[in-house]
Amino acid sequence: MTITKKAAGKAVKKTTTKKTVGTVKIKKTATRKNAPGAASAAEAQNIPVRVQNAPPKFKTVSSPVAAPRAKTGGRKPKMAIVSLTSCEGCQFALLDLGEKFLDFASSVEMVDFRLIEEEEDPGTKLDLVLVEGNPVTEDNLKLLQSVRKRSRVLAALGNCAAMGGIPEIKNYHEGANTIKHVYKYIQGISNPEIKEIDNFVKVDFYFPGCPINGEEFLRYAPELLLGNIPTIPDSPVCVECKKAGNRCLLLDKKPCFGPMILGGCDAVCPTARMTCQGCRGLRPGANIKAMRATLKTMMTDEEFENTTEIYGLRDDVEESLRTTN
Amino acid sequence: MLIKINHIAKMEGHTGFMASVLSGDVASAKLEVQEGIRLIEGVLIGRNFKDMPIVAQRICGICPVVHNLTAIKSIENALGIQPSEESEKLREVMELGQIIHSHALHLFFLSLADFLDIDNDIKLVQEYPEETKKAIRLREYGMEIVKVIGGRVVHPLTNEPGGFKKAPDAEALKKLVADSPRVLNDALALGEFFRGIKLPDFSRETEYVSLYQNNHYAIYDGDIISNRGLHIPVSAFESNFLELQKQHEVVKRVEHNGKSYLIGAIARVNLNRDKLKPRAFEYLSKLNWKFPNYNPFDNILAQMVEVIHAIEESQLLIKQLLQSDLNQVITKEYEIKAGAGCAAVEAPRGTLYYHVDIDLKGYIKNVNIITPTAQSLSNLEDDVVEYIPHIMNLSDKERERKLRAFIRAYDPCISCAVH
Repeated sequence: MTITKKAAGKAVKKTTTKKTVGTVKIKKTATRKNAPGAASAAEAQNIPVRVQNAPPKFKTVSSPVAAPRAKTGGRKPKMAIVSLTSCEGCQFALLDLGEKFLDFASSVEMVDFRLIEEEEDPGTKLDLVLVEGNPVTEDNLKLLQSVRKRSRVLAALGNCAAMGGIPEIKNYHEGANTIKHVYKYIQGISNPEIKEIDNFVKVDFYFPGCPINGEEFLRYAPELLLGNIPTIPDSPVCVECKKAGNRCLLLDKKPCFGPMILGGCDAVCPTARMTCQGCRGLRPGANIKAMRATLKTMMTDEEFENTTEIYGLRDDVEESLRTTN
Repeated sequence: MLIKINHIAKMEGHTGFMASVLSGDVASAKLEVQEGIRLIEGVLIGRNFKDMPIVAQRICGICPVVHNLTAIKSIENALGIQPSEESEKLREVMELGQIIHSHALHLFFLSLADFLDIDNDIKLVQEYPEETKKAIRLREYGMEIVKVIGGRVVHPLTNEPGGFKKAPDAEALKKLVADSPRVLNDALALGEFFRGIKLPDFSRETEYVSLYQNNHYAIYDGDIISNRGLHIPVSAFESNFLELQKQHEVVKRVEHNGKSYLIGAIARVNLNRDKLKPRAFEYLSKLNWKFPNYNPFDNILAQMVEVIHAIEESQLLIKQLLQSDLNQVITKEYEIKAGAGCAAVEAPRGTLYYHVDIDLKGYIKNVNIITPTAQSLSNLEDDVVEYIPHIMNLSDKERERKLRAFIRAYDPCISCAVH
């Protein structure tokens, strides 16, 4: 049984209004809070212009929702990494840092780190919990809620937790019916609509990316352990892309999302000659309208929609375009 | 009597274990998979085929390379695209890198502590600093191969149907070749260390299945064979192997002739050992195995054999690539048309199979992905049923420890199994 998207998909469009399901609904990044930047359409189309603006220096600000400063005294801060339903690639992006990760790990007490130890933690208080993946099973949701209660700071680790990720694609199409392509017996299988973790618990910080950038993690994690909530500079992927010496893909009419996407990934995709597909999410100052207009000359509306679905960007783009009308 | 383990750590994904033993006989043994569904096949339907390698590789953060490559190969078979010889070689090198870093992680960091009576890796690292360094270097070498070719370790970027978006840097490839002898020495030294580890003696006859090529240790391509006389092209996989879902189960099991079978390093070494590169073959000979070797604990040593082989093989292939025109790997134009294609590649944990149907405009009509762990799970359970009587006289705690070690030796990947 197969259906093409055009025949069946569009009938079940995802609503972009997120329902409050769990305890608190906290809006994600500042992306949609901040007014769109003053970038003109010309600027958005001509990337090198934007690049000349130096990116804001990384600064640490105490967020109003930040937990009180750590009173760690002599003890090492406690940290846990929790995997909900996911590929665990973000956790591996950390492990793959090798020595650098071991150095970091020696500065904290890792609690319940399932990849290296068997002991289960009885539930001590945590300074920082990192959550990767989506809450799909009931156990996932219980775990998410329990670590929220235990931890002073909770950070989403990667695209799935922050933006819904690959599993969210189903929301945009057949939703609950997607399962019928995969399973014959669907009774008793948990198949919820995919929602970002901030629909269920308060999230203090988002590590963007699919997977996360390990080096970026090392930059911000020490602040989070102290109870400070850092801000990722509002700088497009283009800045790092230019720094890497790449020829702009947009100049070759390749539909790269770089100008509207939050940098910090070292422009790893365009460096591999792959267009940015927005796994790190919209940046607060992006001129989505102008970017949308630019991309219209390189891809059909349908291609644009499809591509923004891959990393759960579509709902954010639609919301942004609606609110700036 | 009920044997229950709520959660097994130090492996990929979430699973528990349950067995019931009635007056000494094991009535059932079952891995209770606790992973949520992501419906990767379902979300691919209706999408452009170009999205498939990108989406499908996100099934697994440990082995994205093999999902990416198998997706690409199935698309190429559906559209009738013939990538260049250089592209195929480069992909094989990438998969060898994947095997090196995945095996190094499993055999040292996930499984080893089980056989040294050490309960966590922090202690393992403290007690065996030299071996740890070697294992880390091996893992990093495997990751470096993937990074040089794919642009990134987790979810690589350069591969696409038809070839590569970007050719790897020749200097970086030369460095891999230059580092290779040192890494091979690390692997051989670590191999000696592993030869001294006492692994439990247990054996149950089963069917081993893997890819096969007549002049090459099959990783990237080949027919499907078994030790029971099976020899079929990959296109006949679905008509020979039955994928079935039991009610309330999120992992679809796979049977051959109504029975469980085993794939992965132990199966490959059993079936294709005469095609191993010299140092890997020499190491295997020193293990003094009697073939066929049906001890699933020896999967760990089979992984060690493959790490040595993969270092030798990748060095050879990279040298050949450096003699050729690397720009031949860049994708050439191709025609989009309707078609169906299937493909198989040897993942670290065994044969990964993809099937895709594409329509006239390049949209995906149907996808089937059959992962290694989904294929091995029933064999693992059948093994455990025979293994439990051997450990019945142990204390509950000790028995549980042995079971965890057994399950981990299989190196299951639950994210892949459920996808």
